[in-house]
Amino acid sequence: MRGYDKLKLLYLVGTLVVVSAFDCLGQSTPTYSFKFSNTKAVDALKSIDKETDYSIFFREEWLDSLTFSGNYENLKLTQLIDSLLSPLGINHIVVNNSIILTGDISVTNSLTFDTLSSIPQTKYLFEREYIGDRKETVPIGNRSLMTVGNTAQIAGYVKNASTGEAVQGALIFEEGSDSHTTTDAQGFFSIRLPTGDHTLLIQYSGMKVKRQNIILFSNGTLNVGLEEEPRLLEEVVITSDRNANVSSTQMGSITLNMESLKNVPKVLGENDIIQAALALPGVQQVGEGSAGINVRGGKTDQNLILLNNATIYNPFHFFGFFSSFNADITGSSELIKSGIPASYGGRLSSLLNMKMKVANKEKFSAKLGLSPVTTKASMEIPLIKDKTSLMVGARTTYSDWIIKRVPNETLKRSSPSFSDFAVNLHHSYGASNSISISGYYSHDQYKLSTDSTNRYTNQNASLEWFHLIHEKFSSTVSAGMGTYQFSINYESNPETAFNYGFKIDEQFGKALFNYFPSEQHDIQFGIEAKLYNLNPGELVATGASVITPAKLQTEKGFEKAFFASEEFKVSPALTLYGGLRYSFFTALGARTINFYQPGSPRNSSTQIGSVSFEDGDVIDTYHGPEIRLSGKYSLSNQSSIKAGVTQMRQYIHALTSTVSVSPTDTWKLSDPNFAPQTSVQYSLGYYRDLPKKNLEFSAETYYKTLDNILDYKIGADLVLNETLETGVIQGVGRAYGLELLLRKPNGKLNGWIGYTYSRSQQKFDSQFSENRINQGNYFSSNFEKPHDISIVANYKKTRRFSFSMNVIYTSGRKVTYPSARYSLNGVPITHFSDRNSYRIPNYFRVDVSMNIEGSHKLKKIGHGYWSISIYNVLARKNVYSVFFTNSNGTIKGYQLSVLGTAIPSITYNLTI
Amino acid sequence: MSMCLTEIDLEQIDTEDLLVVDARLTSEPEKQMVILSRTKPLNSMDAAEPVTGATVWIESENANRLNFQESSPGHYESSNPFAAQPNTNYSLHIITSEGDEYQSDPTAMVPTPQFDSLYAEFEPAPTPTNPFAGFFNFYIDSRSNPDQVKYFRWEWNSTYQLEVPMPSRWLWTGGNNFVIRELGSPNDSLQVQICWSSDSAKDINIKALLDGENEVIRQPIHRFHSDSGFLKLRYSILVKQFALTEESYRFWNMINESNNQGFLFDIQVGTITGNLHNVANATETVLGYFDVVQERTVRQFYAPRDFQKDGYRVLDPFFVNCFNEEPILLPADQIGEFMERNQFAYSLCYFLSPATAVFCKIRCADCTYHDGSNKRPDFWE
Repeated sequence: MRGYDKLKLLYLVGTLVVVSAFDCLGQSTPTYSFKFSNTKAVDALKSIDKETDYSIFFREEWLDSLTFSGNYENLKLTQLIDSLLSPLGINHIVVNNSIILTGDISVTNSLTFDTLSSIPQTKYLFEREYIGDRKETVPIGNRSLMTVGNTAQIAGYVKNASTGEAVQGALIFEEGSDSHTTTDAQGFFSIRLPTGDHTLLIQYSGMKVKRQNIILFSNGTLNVGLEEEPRLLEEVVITSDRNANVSSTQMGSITLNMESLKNVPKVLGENDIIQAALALPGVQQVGEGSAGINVRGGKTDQNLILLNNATIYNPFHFFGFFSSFNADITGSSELIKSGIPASYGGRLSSLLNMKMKVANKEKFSAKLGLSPVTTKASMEIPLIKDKTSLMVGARTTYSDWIIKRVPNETLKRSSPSFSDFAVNLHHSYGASNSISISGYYSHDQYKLSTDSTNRYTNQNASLEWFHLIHEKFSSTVSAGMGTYQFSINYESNPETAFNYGFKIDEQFGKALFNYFPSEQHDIQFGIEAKLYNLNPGELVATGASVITPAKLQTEKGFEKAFFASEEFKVSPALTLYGGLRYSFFTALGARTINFYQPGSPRNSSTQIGSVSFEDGDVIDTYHGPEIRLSGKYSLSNQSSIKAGVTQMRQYIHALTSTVSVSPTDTWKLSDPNFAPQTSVQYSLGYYRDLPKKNLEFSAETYYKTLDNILDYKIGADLVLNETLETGVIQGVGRAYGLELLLRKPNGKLNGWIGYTYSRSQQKFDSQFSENRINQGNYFSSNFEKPHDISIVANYKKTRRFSFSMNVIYTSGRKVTYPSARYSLNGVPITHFSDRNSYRIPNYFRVDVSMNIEGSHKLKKIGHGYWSISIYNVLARKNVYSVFFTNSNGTIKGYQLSVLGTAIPSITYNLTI
Repeated sequence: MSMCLTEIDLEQIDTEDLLVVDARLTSEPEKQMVILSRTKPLNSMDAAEPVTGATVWIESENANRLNFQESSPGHYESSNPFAAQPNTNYSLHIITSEGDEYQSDPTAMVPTPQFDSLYAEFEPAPTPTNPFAGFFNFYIDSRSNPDQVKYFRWEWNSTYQLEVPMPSRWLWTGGNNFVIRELGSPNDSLQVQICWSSDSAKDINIKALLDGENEVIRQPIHRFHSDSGFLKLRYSILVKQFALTEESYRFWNMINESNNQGFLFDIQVGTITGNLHNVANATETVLGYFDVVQERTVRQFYAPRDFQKDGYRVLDPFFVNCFNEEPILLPADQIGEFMERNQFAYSLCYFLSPATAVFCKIRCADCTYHDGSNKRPDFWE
């Protein structure tokens, strides 16, 4: 009896959370009636689960194609289940109000722990197999037939989980051994492994890698469904795929998908891809409501943000509270912080490579989401079965209810509205060709003061053609165009009414070839070209205005790059990646360029003349190599080290005097007065998987040097300035850091703890005080936050309820404080410290959220889930910046908190 | 302001102790002035700490030397009147009592164009309580610019006349004693009926002309609200215009920019240094700027009637509520006793009879109470 009690206790721990534990003694046992006619067993059990007080736990694959038929009247539940399952040879046990199907294992009351302990892998028998991580471990074969130390055969099929199609060529291998096999045309595989517990990885290109824990008792079957892309209801995968941590050569990379978004903070109720990235090491933001991300000590303009290959210049809505991407239409996205492949370049710090989802080609589906701020809809529309599908998504603000509740006057007055639309048409013909055509549009409108309206728009269109030339050689050709523009419209005073605007256009083309001569080699090469056209600023008088119109000269530039790389698997343990990108930038006319005395600070007195260039004339050309090297060495099956060198060049620069991205930031192309920015990053990482504990650990460290980064002289005018170069100085920078991440990728309780130590410093030295900042010494960037801890925890209480909590703690960023006062000519003046010499208080925030999935009812129209979250639940007034006012000689300093309060929100998402 | 602002305790900020040089050499043949001080804490309302005992001189490029003497702590006055000459570089030299030597870059004046006109306009902004409320705006035009000057700066000094409605005719001198004041007489140093109060620019008004621009039109100089009471009787403004070098413009522009901080989108701020440096230690921060300028000045007088056409009326020529106050009447032998207790609230106004003294609220009886001086300025017409 001792054993039984223990056993019962184990069950209780597992089931208490599912059903409320009421004492059913003394109550009459209810009876039920059910009628089934060719009902799928899975659906039948679900309806029993729904209609009765009992929760039924089972494994769908046991019931795969089984059906039930017949009338079952006035049966106690145990009788009902017995009569349904016994004929099929499926055992079950009843614990309080839970019925747990145990497959071919029969559980009896007389079973004791003493007998259990004689069987290897006992620890999995009950606590893990059925109760704890029910989804985690699959028993294969019949326990009673098991012989320790022997081997057994596993056979089964790999299918596309959403379409049911067989997956040919999927690789099945055991983690930590050489055993592997592939599926045939029917998706069939078989593999022989020692009995006992194993972890199988099933992977196929274009599908999510599936990790499957098994206990192999005897010969048996395992059917696997692979997902095309992360789906709403599936298990949580936060970052890069499981064994990619250790085995891929890529380092410094973060994979972001829909699932990861569900578990990270929701600002004002929106799932957000960039918010998700911010919860991981190495990615920081100045503060709430600041657009732009700082990756490994880089400025906000140093991130290459691509959506289906097209550059997004302003990836933020509404001052940066939301990214401008509807999470429902973006597929898996990757943020790479180091080791950027040679096929990408143009920005120094990171690559955020986002792809729109390819719509399901078999089945129509739709998603609808309502949050306090936005409403969004997306549809996956099959056009030609198996060949062509269309993904469309739209999102728009419909209410500023929550914005009105944000205790920030600037935001309240701003009456913002925004929208974004995306469309992706995907067509495959034959086995070797696919084309995708996509379009994207995002628009923002807001007022900063009551009398002017600001607008900004991203739009782009792109085409990508994948062609498998033969089985070892493929090409991907893409082309497209994009535009970013903003305008400020002021109309309240007709005499001074104006419209001020900026616009950048780009057209791009890229050809990428992939050649796999053998298993050991993966060769990529190609060419990329981009043409920029800028209207850097134009002021137009509107109506009866007497304002003097002004227009800066347009700018044109052509950027191209050749690249080639090879990934070489030298041995099972060692993989090397070597890539070279050689990029060119040509500044083109028509333009007039000012020239200055060499070796002097640029100002109107050192200007020695100007040269006019005709349309299409070459003004100046910059070019240089970008070397990309990385390597992985496996120390064991569970651990590896990786190292890399990444060189980057950047020919386009954002002009901003503010610490965050402002919607009125303009961009500037390199020219004789603006040298390209360059960087070199050295990185080293250690990666370790602890599969027994279901943990992954990584430690990465980097050192980066930057050259020709931009800063501004105090008081530099960046708007409509014909001699902008006189207000800008270029200097050097360095950034270094350590990023630690401990992750529990799955399980009831999953999440991660990340810690980052990072420094970002710049130096502007010159013999001329005008070009010197802080006496020419290194000083910290205003976004530097040396310590950054983030904890994301998600607890799946049941299939339907999950709770998440995020804890974010960072050092305060650097700011420039006033440090004394004086007066000149009777005018009181505030003296400011050296640039960025004070740190604002540390940042700390806790968010909580709860997701409630809709019930898994039969024949329901759709599946819905509610998400309730409280952002900044401690209502901490985190300091975003400090500013000082000088009113009649009285100086006052203020700390500004953008969201100094707890912000609850509730969203509803429906999938049809 | 927003709920999300928390005031910072300025005490916690370490004060940087730096030398401040306030020096402007002008083309006016007068005694020139250099003011030396040290920076003070942000929350300090005290006068700047003067730098005393320094040796100060200005040297011209042809080695002429103009010596300065300390006339009051931190204020150094040239020994002789001096007018800066065009096309000549001057440099300022300072040796502090500790022996630190400072020097300015050589600086020359830019010829300043003449004014065309200084004019004022009234901009009505009626309120429920005052239909004649509004703003006074002062502008200048400067159309001729033969030297194509690009950078300008303007300063103003204003003086207004104020009058109290119940002027004290007797000055209490202690006990039951008093002496007579002559009402409104500009020659009587005791009169407190009419005063003149002065003010000067508290901001830096500069402008850079754009390419192709060669004149200054409607440049705002000064603006105040009618509630200030400056234009109840008579008002005078002196406007100075001077051309700046590009370096000087850049310096004052930076000072301006960093004194006007933004809100959500804050601007770049930092240490602003001018054309002064420590001779031995180039990295020491020296605040201030040594300007050499040619001054052009114009003074004008205004009275309320000048703005009648724009809709301005003086509702209360004196001060609100003076006529609602009941004066206090006391026997003459109690003057001493009353005044000893109430000398900061009441003035001895007049006598109803030789035996009965009338006391009025000081703000209605004594114009010097309102920050003014009862001495008529020399320029007052």
